[in-house]
Parts: sequence; structure tokens; C-alpha cells
Amino acid sequence: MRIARHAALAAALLIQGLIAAPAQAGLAIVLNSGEDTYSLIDTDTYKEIGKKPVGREPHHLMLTPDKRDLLIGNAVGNDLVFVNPATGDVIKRLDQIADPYQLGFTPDRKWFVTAALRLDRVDVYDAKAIGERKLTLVHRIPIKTMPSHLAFAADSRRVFVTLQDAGSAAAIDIVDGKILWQAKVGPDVAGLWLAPKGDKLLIAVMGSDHLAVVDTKDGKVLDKIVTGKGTHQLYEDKGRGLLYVTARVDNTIAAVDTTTFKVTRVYKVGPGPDCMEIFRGGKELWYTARWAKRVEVLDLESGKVIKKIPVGRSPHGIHLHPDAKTASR
Amino acid sequence: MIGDIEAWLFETLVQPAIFELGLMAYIEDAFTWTQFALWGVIQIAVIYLVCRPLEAWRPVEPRADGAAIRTDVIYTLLQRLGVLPLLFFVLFTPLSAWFDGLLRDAGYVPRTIDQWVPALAGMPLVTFLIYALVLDFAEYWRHRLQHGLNWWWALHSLHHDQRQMTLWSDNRNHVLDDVTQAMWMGAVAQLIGVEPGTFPLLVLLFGLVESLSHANARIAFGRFGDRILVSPRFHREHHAIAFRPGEPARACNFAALFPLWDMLFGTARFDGRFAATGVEGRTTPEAIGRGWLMQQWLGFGRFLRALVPARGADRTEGGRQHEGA
Repeated sequence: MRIARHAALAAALLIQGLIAAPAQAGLAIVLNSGEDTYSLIDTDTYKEIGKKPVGREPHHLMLTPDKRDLLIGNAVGNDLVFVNPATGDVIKRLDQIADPYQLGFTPDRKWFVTAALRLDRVDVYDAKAIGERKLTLVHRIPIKTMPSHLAFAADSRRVFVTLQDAGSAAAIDIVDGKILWQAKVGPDVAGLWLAPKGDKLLIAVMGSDHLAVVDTKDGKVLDKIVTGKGTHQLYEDKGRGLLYVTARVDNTIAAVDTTTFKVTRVYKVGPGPDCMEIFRGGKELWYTARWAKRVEVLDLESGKVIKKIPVGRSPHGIHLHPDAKTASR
Repeated sequence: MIGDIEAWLFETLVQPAIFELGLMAYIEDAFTWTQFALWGVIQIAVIYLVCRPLEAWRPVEPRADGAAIRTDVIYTLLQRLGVLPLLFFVLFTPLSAWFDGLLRDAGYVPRTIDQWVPALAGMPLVTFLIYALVLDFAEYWRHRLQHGLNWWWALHSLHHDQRQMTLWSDNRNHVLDDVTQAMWMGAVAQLIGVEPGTFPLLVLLFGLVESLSHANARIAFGRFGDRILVSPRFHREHHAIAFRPGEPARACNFAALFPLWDMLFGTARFDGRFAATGVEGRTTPEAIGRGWLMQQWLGFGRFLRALVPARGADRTEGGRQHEGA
């Protein structure tokens, strides 16, 4: 009986392996925002295996809620491109999505929100037909200036947005399309992260050297966490209870404890670190090095940059398949 | 290699300066301009290394006016190192974003060349050549309008004022003329979908050929070659049109890269001569203007007078509206 069970398990694993093999080859998709292409990287060999044209200024990408498609936002092209995340093939192009610089779905999957950095507005789309690769514009909310990054409240009612040039943050009611509050945070704000309790935001202050701890009720700055000059982007490693925080001027990635808000480690990395993804069960951190035209791979235990992978100009968003859980935001 | 130099320059000089100036919101734009300036340095170096030996080898005329040449060097540095383009970028980016938003809201999305012909996506050299042809076609018609419209000729004649034409003369333009060119080229490039990575290479190609075509060099590409690519002889004929006392003026040889457009539209002239250049009636340094600032000022005055002429004045001051243009 035991032998039979083992044989069945082995057969199941074999079949699963055979079926999954072509799609599980390990593919990283990197958006080269400065040359309108995306690079395909074999995650096993750490080599770029292809490059495809995508549209004008692709900056960010993310999986659809059902994880079937990868959405690429062409900020200047004003369109969204649906891509097969396992192969990198283009499936569909959705026009008339104005300046989708930053994108995200609400946790309840009902709404799709874009931050139009160039056009100074936040757009809300009805996402109920996203399975058919369709979106319907519901609200167009003018907001100044340079809305750049988004974070969603668990209730799917509010979205928090940083306003890069204004140096402020805002909370928007998604359903009503109204701005709830807007408050100064610091010079040139960028990435943000919402604490699990929903009471605090950590906001990267790129014109300075820290994360601002902000009250989600009114945008009041409560504290600051020094992480490095040009603090820009945050990525949550839920397994370790850490946030990785890039600093573009200092060229560092700081690890910040999500409970204590203390910096636990600082990694020295390549020029202009930006979007990140953890990979190989949390062993590696892949990130785009904007100014060096490459993706770099950081070994989180040793703290060493173990690979430097040349890609296109100004690489920005990155997605890793199949290990990665969510696209870097 | 160039990418490494660019990254080093950006990290070492540009980014720290931008950070200290409190302009980090524009850091990505600064990265783009670092590339522009670096390409400009490369372009100037290549142009100098190619054209200057040719000028020394077979000059059309002696380098008699060093001051005029030095002024042209200033024009070249301002344009190709990105000083003027940066100014235009700062001025026009909000306008461009507003216009773009308006177009999208109205439901208009221009299709690019690779959207019309998807196969071109895998043929970068062919696409590059098509981009160059289309941009050159647009430049041909812009150039014809520069000669055909009085107000535009008032500005453009500054370019033709140079009687000591050298490899540095290509960028000798009024800033208002530079603005129109930037908008014209930018709009066409956007309409046909030129990728940002390709645009500097196209600018490099135009810059190389146009600097060579202005060189003080007795160079031609032969009977066949002169019909393929604009040569110094072909373009010098164009610069002679405004300065040929006693001979009927005839607008000719407008193309920047490919004489094809002049041949198609009946404006090609292959006389085989290396004629004198300049604008008829403007012979003294006072009339032409000493230095960059004075030339800009005089050009602006001519422009205003062309727009609002005094009663009885000749609207075609500063040369004339040429036949056939």
C-alpha cells in the first residue's frame, strides 16, 4: 500500500513536472522605460534571452487579480498591454488608458486605478470585465502634481497616492471619486506602503534620506526612518517581516522591520536601484538598476550582488515568473 | 561603453547636483538629458575628426574670418550639448502633456509605423532608414516654408548670413527657428513612433550629414553619389541662392539628407560649382551682426518687421522671397 502510494505520488510529480516544464522555465520580464521595450531574462542562466517592443515609456507592470495576464502600462503610449507572464508574448493592447504610469487593483478586485504622473490625474476604472480584458472609466480625478505611486486600503474604498512634485500625499475615495485629504510629507515623495493595521503609511521621501511615517486619517507626518539619500521605492518581504527600501543617490537597499520600523541591514548595490522582486524562496532580491541599464541580483544572506544582467535603457518595472507572488509596485 | 560613461557621469555629477538642488522629481528627465549631452559631445568629436581634415585638405575658400567661425562654434555647442533643447523641453513639456491628454480624451490615438507594419518590429535597420526618410521629407518641406514665408525667411536668413561657411555653420539659427524645428521634428517623430532609443541616433545621422554638407571643403560624391546623399557641393549651391548678384535667384537644394526630395519636387540643381555664400545686401559685419547675441537681436528685429511691415516697406527684407519656394 505504501509503495503504491509512493509510486502514485512520484507519477503525479512527474506528470506535474512534465506539464509545467515549458511554462516554469523561470522568466523575468523587465520594462526598459527609456527604449520602449521589455527584456526577457532566463532566471536560471541569468541571461537576457530576448527583447520586444511594447509601446511608449513602459514603467510599471502587475498581474491581473486572477494571475492569468501581466499588465504593462505605457505611460506615454496611453495604453495597457496584456502579456502572457510565462512566455512574454503580447495578448492584447487596450487603448485609451491615459498615462498609466502606475497601476493597481483594489483588494476586492472591483476597481482598477492608474496614477497619471504626466497628466496630473488619478483615473478609476470599473474592473469587473478584466477577465475579458476590458476596463471602463468611472472617475477622472485631477490632482497636482505628478501622482506617482499607489497603495490601497483593505476596505477597497480608499487609495493613497504620492504626489511627487508637490511633495505631498493624498487619500482618495475610489467609489465617490473624491479627494479625502492632501497633506505635505517631504520633498519629492515616491513609493509608499500601508501598514497591515491600515493606520500608518510609510512614504519614501526621495528629495531627502528617509521614509516618512504618515497617519492615514489625515496625512500628518508622525515620524521618520532614515534609510538613505534618494529614498525611492519599497517592497514587502512578508516571509521575513521586512521592507526593502531603495535609495537612488546612496545606491543602497535598506531592510526595515515592518513591526518595529527599525533599519536592520543596509545593502550596497548598483546605480539607481528601483523596482524589486524576491525570488528563489526569498534567497534572492532582483532589482532594476536604472542608470546602469541592468538588472542586479542580491543574495540577501551574504549581502553580495551575485549577478549583473545587462538589459535596455532605464529599466524600471520587473516581474518574475513563477516564484514571484506580486509585481513590484 | 557609452552606457558606462553615461552612468558614471550621471552618478558622479548630475544626480548629486539634482539632489542638492531639490529637483529629484525630475531625476528621470535629467538622465535623458545626460544622454543627450553625451551624444552631443560624441557628435561634435566625430564631426570635427571627419570634417576638419577635409576642410584643411581641400578648402573652398580661405578661413579669413575667424570671429565668424567662433560664433558658429557657440551656436553648435548651445544646440548639440543640449542647452537650447533643454530650454525648449522645460517650456513645452506642460503644453505637450496638456495637448496629449486632450487628444486621448477625444479618443484619438495616432498609429505608429510599426503598428501599421508589424513586421518592421524585427527589422531595426529598415525601420531606421524609413524614419530617416520620413523625417527628411518633413524637413524638406519645413525648409521650403522657411524660404517661402516672409516671416520665416526673416528668421532663417540668419543661417544664410554666414559668408564664411564651415562645418560649424549648421546650427547657426535663430532660437525661434530652433523652436519651430524642435516642435516640427518632435511632432513628426512622435506621429511615426520613433523610439526614444532610436531618436538620438537619427539626430546623430542628421547632425553628421548636415555638418559635412556645410563644411568648407571642395567635396562632392560624384554624379551618382550627389543624387543619393547631400554633399558639401550640393548644399553650397543652396547657400548661394540668396547671394548671387546679377543672376536670377532660384530656390534649390533644400534637402538635409536625401536629394531625392529635391529631384521629386523639381528643386534639385546640380551645377557642379562651389559658389560664394551669404545674403545679398548684407555684406558688412554690422548688417550681419557681431557675435551670437547681436545676430539674435537683428534676426528678431527682421522677424517683427516681416510680421508688421512699416507702410511702403519691402516685406521681403533680408534677401527676398525666392522663386519656386
